[in-house]
Amino acid sequence: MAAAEDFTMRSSMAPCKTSVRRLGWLACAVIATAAGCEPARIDTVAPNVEAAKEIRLEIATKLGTKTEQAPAEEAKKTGWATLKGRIVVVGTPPSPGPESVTKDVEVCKPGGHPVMKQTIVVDSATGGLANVALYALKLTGDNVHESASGKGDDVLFDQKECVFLSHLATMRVGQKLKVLNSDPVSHNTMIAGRQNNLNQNLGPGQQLFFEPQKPESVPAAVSCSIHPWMRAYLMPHENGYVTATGKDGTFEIANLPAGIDLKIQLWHEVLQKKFRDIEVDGKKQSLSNGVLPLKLENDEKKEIEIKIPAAAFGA
Amino acid sequence: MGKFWSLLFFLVPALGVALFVVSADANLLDHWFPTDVSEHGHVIDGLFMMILWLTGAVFIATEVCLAAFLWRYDARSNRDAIKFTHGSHTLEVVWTIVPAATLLFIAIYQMNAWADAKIRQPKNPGVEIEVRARQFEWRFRYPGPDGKLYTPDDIHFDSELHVPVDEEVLVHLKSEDVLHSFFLPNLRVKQDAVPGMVIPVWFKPTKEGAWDLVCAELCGWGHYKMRGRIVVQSREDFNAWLAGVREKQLATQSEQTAAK
Amino acid sequence: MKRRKLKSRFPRLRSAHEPAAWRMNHRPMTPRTHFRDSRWRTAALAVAALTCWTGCTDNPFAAAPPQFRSNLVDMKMQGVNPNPELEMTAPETAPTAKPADAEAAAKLVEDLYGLQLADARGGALVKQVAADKPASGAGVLPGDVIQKVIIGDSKYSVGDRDDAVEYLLSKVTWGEGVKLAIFRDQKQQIADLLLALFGTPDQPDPAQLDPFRDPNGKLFEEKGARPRLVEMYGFNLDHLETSAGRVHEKFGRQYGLYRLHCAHCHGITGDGAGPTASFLNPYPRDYRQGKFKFKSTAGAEKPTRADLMRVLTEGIPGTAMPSFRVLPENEREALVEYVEYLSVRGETEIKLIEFAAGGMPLPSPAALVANLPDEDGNAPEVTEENVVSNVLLTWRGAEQQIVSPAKPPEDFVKWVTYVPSNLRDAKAPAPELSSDENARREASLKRGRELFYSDVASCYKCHGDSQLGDGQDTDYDAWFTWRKNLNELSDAAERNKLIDEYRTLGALPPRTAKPRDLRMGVYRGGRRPLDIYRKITSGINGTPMPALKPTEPTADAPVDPAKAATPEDVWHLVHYVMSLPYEPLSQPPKELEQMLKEGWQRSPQPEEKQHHADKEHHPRS
Repeated sequence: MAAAEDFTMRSSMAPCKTSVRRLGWLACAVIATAAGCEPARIDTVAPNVEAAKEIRLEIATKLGTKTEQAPAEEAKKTGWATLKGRIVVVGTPPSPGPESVTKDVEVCKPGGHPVMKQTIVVDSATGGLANVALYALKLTGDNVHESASGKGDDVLFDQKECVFLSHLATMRVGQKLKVLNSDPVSHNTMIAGRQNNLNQNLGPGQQLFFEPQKPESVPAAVSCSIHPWMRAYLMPHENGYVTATGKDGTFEIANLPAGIDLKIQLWHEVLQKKFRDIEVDGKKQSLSNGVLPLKLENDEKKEIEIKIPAAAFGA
Repeated sequence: MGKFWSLLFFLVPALGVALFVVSADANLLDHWFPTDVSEHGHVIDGLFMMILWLTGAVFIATEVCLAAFLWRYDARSNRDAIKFTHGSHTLEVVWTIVPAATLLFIAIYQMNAWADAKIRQPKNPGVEIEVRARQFEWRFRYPGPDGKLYTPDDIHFDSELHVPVDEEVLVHLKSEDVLHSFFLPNLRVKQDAVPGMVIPVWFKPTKEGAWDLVCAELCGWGHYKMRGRIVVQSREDFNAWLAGVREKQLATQSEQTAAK
Repeated sequence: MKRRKLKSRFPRLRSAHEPAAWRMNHRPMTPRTHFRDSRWRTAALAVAALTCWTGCTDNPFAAAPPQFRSNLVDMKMQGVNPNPELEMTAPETAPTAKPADAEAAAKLVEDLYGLQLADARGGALVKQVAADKPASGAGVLPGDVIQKVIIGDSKYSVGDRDDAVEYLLSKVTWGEGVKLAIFRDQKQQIADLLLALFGTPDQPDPAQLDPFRDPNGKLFEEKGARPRLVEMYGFNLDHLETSAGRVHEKFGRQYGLYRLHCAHCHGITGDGAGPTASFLNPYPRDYRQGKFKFKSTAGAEKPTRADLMRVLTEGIPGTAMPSFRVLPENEREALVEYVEYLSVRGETEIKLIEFAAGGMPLPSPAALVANLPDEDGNAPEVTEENVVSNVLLTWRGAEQQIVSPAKPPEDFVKWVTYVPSNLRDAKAPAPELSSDENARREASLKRGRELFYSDVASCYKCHGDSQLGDGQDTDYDAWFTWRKNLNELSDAAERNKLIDEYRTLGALPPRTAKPRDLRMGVYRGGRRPLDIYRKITSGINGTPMPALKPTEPTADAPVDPAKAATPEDVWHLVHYVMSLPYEPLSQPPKELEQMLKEGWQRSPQPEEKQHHADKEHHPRS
């Protein structure tokens, strides 16, 4: 049978060629597969059963028993002091560009002039950086002046021409936020913080009161769903030691406790808590997590100047 | 092939037929018909049995013939020379006409049943329901007090199809996404739900109770669990249930009282 | 042997001068020879290799959805959850000793970041970097090592390397002392805590962790009876055990209910990113944030058990969530309990990560579970450290936040079930309304329509002038707040970069939140007038839908209809919304034309539409 002979003869004709080729293909397949399989990209962390057992044991032994340990010794203040200063940007930071106004153009883009984003607001004359939040961390009880605790006046939060007039509003828990709408169109004020939530429609000329129940650790984003480009930030802090830099980059926090280690948290919406390679009063410093350590003397009016290189805002 | 092999192979059809007979007779392992609770289900069952008998008879005849030939013309015991035949015209005619006639008979025999199930839509059904199949659930829409579907007083429900007993039910079958099939095993109803079409399906349940509603057309990964229930109730119970659903659907006051 | 015989008998056929091509083409083509033909083999192997390659890598030809990556599934099986938003921040801790030399630096980086630099190649590169870098007193910085090693290493894709470099460099400061980001360490701590506090989704309270039980779950007699930890939180352990774990039947009871019915969409840890999730629009709910849309409670409160049970039983029409009515009641209750468990577990994890990301030390385990709510749902002494208790309290307090609307106008039910004339016929004698009732009905519709188009409610801004849900579509839901930042990035390249970063962590491709098309008659989360009233007055949690707070009119402070809405006005709005599916779109009612004539000013049309010509609208890319 010619067919069968052909078949066997084919395989006998070039045994070396065929097996080499086969090996070649096999090698290709192996390499392709191996090259395709990458090591894990995400840093996976698997829980440790032994550690969990120990945690459970700790819970089991300590739960229900009220450990009467003395509260940590709170540092005693020696008086009150004021912190003033200015935050400037050295160099020219990138211009944030215009907002994309997609709704109610007559109201939100009056005259057709582009509306600039407010993410980086630097005063052209002095180089001052606006809208940097400064708040003092972990001050409680006696270390808080009476003017910085308890109830207080309402904080105004207005919006006009589809722009929140206070880009970074600061307040303390105990104050009420008076949200106004000075536009002829309605806005809905949506505050999405980790502890506080609000999403309420506000007609033109209407106002609403918002009372934050809990302090936030970072400023909460405020936006409008009808005009999604609108953005502002609200920082409800546990006490009154919170402020935002003004247009010229200046700030002032009064009645801070003197004589104890203060931790002033800095926050900016673009930098977040990254304040590295900055100059504080002429000395190069990098803040860890944006926290500025300070110690004030009694009745001192400390003035500091913080210089941030423009490169920190990204190219 | 020895005679032994021909016997062995004959065991296959023999056991098959035996199993069939036992299964039908004793409803072995619940493997015969599901309970029939509809008015026209017996027609479908009757057709099934007729075809079963017919094909069963043919099957037994051919298998017996096959086994007989295997036995009789076993190569070892049959040393006659092989004769080649050029065919028989008569045989060919016979074995064309007989099956054709049989099939024609079956086609004509079932015409009425088909018409009853698919063509003669009832003029005055007891209730009209829109059934929407979607991945992977069944949604129903009942006409409200005005008796007409697609008006603002319609009543919506899901997964449990309630119908009154002893009344003709007309279902408008729709699909929201892919092919599904509306299968009521206990009412011998099966109709594919084709997206873009509204297909009328009708049946008349005769026994109260809760029966199965399953999807019989592969529609995705969840096809196996696309189940519902058809609940057949007396007319009073059905009306009461529908009124209850309607009341809940028109609720304007909180269903839960805030705990103080 | 046979071959040799043939060769000797037909020497001609063995030689090379026989045209091989001719023989090849005239071979008998049996399937076996056909396959052995090199074209077939090439094609088969190429397909196999391509499949392997595309399946394993995330290359541009066929990027597998993130959830198909095995490492992600492994993490989830062990109960660890990568939450994309919080993954990107990392804590810093107190200074530790500066590494003395390149080797020590490499080891430190390896320990902290899990980067494998310790192999020969990495070690050699580290030495090379040390040699290259001029002596600066700071030794070899991890940044240098990473620059050289990662960028030079084909193990990582370009995107990975850039991100890793930027990320690590941003976390590392060398100068006075050494401050290093030890996020891996704290991640491990959080993972261990989560395992101890909540077990894994498969085993909510594994007996092997319980110090008072032996591996079989039997109590050690001498320790005395203790409630299981998960029971102390207030969960029904029986329900949890029915829902959790593998699917099997025992003594006639179905176990593994969650895996059987829910896990493929909602994910093993309830993260809404199961294997089928990427094919669904909208995505399944992510329980871990503790935000639920369809509930009877106000604002951002948790849903009640009854709310969850309703969603499970009735499903959500218009989404892929089916109705589970046919499941027995006890199975549905078990699932509701399990959903709450997953949500509490997820929220606790998020709060722990927030602690760590804020640079604060994690509370001690005992503090985390201290001050649990009692049977009445109270926990008077709870502090910020009692994370689990805080989360549980929000669930306990849900019942008190139920929105109970005021009574609607008397004829309300008649209005919403009124059959308009275009839908009537002789066959369907719908009840007619008297002329008084009709007048009231028309007035109610008028007021509802006014409110819809007014700035008091401004519904038309998002739901569109024709209520088709086409008012706007550039905003995002809250389940991944990182999506909000997309609005701020107008450059398409930047947006895509951000999307890619989060997708590598397992997030699903972002989709904007589309307002509801009110003319379809599909109401997610309830079609009762009560549900629509609640959605209008509380908004929908997690979505851009805002709340319209009605103002109660009082004797000395009447409500100006142009500026505010009373609760009755909201019912009129509900009536209008419910009438929309039956109002022909092509023939706007003459009342609307009348309204326009009366001087209602619609806001000007948008001049420019923002086009997102980027990855968001390509679901599988």
